[in-house]
Amino acid sequence: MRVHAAKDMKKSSKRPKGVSRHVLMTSALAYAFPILVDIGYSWWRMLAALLLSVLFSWAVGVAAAVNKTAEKIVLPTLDVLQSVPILGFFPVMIFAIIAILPGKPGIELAVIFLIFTSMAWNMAFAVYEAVKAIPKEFVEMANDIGMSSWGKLRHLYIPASWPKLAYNALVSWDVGLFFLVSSEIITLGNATYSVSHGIGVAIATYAAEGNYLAYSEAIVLLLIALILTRILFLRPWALWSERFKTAEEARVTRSDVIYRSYRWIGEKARAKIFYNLGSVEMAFRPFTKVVRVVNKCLGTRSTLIGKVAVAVVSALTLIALAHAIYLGLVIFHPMYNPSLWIYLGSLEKEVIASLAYSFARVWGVYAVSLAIGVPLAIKAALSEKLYEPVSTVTQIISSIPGPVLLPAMVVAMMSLPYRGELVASIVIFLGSFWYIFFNVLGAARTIPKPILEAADLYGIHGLKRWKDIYIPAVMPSLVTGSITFIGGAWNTLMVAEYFVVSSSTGSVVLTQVGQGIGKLLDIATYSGNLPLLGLSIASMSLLIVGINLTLWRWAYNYTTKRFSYNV
Amino acid sequence: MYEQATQGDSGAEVSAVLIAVKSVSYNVQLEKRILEVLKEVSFSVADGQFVSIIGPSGSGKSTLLRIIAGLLRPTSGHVFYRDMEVTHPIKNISMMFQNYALLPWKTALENVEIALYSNESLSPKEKTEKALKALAAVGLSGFENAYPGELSGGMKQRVAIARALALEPEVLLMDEPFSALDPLTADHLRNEVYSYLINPQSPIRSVVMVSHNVEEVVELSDKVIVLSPRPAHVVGEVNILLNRPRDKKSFEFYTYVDQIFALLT
Repeated sequence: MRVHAAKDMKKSSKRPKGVSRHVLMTSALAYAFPILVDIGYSWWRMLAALLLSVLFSWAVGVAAAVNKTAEKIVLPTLDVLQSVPILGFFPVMIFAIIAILPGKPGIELAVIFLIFTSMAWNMAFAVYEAVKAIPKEFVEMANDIGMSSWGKLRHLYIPASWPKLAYNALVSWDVGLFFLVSSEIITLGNATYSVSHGIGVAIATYAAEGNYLAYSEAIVLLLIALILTRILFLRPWALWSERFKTAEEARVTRSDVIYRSYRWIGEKARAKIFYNLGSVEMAFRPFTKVVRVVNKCLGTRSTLIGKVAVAVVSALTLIALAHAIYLGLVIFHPMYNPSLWIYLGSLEKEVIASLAYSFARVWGVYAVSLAIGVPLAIKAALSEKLYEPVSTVTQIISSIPGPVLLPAMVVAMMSLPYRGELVASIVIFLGSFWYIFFNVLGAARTIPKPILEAADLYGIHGLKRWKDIYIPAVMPSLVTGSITFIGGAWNTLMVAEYFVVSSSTGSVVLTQVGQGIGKLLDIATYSGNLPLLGLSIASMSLLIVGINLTLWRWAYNYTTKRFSYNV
Repeated sequence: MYEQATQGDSGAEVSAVLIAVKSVSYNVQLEKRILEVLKEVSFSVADGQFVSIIGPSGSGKSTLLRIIAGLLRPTSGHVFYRDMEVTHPIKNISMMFQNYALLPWKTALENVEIALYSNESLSPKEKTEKALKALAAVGLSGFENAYPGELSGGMKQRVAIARALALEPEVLLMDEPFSALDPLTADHLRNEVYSYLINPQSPIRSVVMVSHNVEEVVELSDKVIVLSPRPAHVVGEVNILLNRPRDKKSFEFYTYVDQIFALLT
């Protein structure tokens, strides 16, 4: 992304080298106010998006829960919306909203809308589930005393939805913050579309100017704002909403809140991939048959590596197939504007190569996250001493949006080779690692005690204990976490792979990778190259859907069949 | 299966003591106070005896069993197996868990084999043979490769028994072994389970069972230890001198049932 550094924050660069402590203090204080204003802008966007999400969730969630027709429309729609890499669609969203509402208000609306799209879907599901779970007698009672629809909404549906809504808001806030910062930074890439204030703007601008005092101050203030929001708003809300729980539901302890929400979201992600993509699957029937034949020939029906290989091959085949269709259209249907198709054909190589690089990045970071996250989460979950402190600290770290740390990483790694790759990997890691960590933490926390006692009784320790007890026990949650990890990772690419700061005097490349689909999306956005943008998004979506339908579907079916306790 | 003779001598004759529980107390540290779960519990299990521990729910029966197994350490007091103090799980004492604790990701055979895991004197082949033998002993030949999810409640229970048998322990501890089954199945299986455990081929010499079902306890036990509500202590010991198989409709049977109920309330 490019950062439009039109704001006059040049004081720092003019400052003489030997600044006294006093001067440092005064300038630090001088930055505090503009930074707080920026945080204020960002928080206003967040709160507006959260409020929108709550209203949307009540409207859509309640409608789907009480009306069969609405249910049939709402659930699949939410599923599709949840499964697309939203950030990739952001540029398209900007173009569309600007066309209707030009200028700053349009951009502001686009940013709020983007945050909304990252917060709303799981909250709507939460309301739907909560209202669905209201005991029948309650509704019958309401009807019996002649309560109006509005009355039922006020006295029944909305109160019942509070607990789940509040827990989901906790996670939605973290996810939303990531999207807020990313979108603010992305808009800065082109002066026409930039938002003027915001914590993402401030951080990117200070970093671009080399003003590290202001930059670090902005991060510290952001962190304080984050923690305060959690302590003063999100957590009290979640705890307050406990009162609306029916007796049967277990009350969660404080530190369980976050992992439960992550797991719940993961389960929704799983459900959406495996239950509601039926129609998509129908279209791919012939294709899955091919996969099965390939599987048989390779004789790798059940090995994980084989499955991964098949998933990769099939996803790439899918893309090749799509491209073949393009080319077919170019040759046989000249009425489809041949020059556009020929142009797309010429981009094909670039898009596929970028996709391959990004794929390697995402899966490489995934492998590292598994290696770190799984043992760490299991250790923390099973230790009474570690569990509380680790879950508290990780909750706070997980809510820091990764992109704000990017400039600091760039500086810290100034002299390292492959800096672009390293920075990209860390940003991907920070944005997605938590899905694995919290899912495994929750699963390991709930391993039935007798299973652990049996392992003690039979003297199963060390490696054997990990291999035969812990890893299988967290398997289903690990798959859930992995699906959300990969989805999240693709979203981070637009910020991770390309970060360019532009001002009236020129532009500075903060960090970039050689090739990558995120970088391509950025470039397409800044240059207004819609065909390239469309082709990139379509190819990326196809790859993700292809892997969901092959690898993850198999992993999910296999692990739920083999590894769940309540069989 | 009913021709099973009583191996344990339920009379006054003195035989070797396999398990001795000596003034065992167990406290749990809560946030602000200390909760007393067990208070000065003492009893013994003689060679050949089937002993049951009965008490109101929440009275710490399962905790007591875990202390005997060496999974938990008592706050004060001692547990002895023969002359040796039990401070950690030992080979001669095995335990069957309430919901059987079968690993859902392992087959019946693998679930039995895992009990033999830490036995280094056995080769993998011998372990498999032992596990197969144990499964055969509970009538599960042919189900070696079934996963727990594919087995009925009664069959799962038998896998758990096989796992306990494979270890060839002298003492078997059972935590509410019938509570995971529906009452009809449980009723039907009690004698069968007894015959799997106590027979001339079985390595098991004594059984300690935790239960909250008075009739079940009278049907199976040579001796019943009755615990009070929390903090649990022994309020009575009842020796049951009935021939096996026991007639659940007999007057004597109900005399014992009434006697235990009286101690419980």
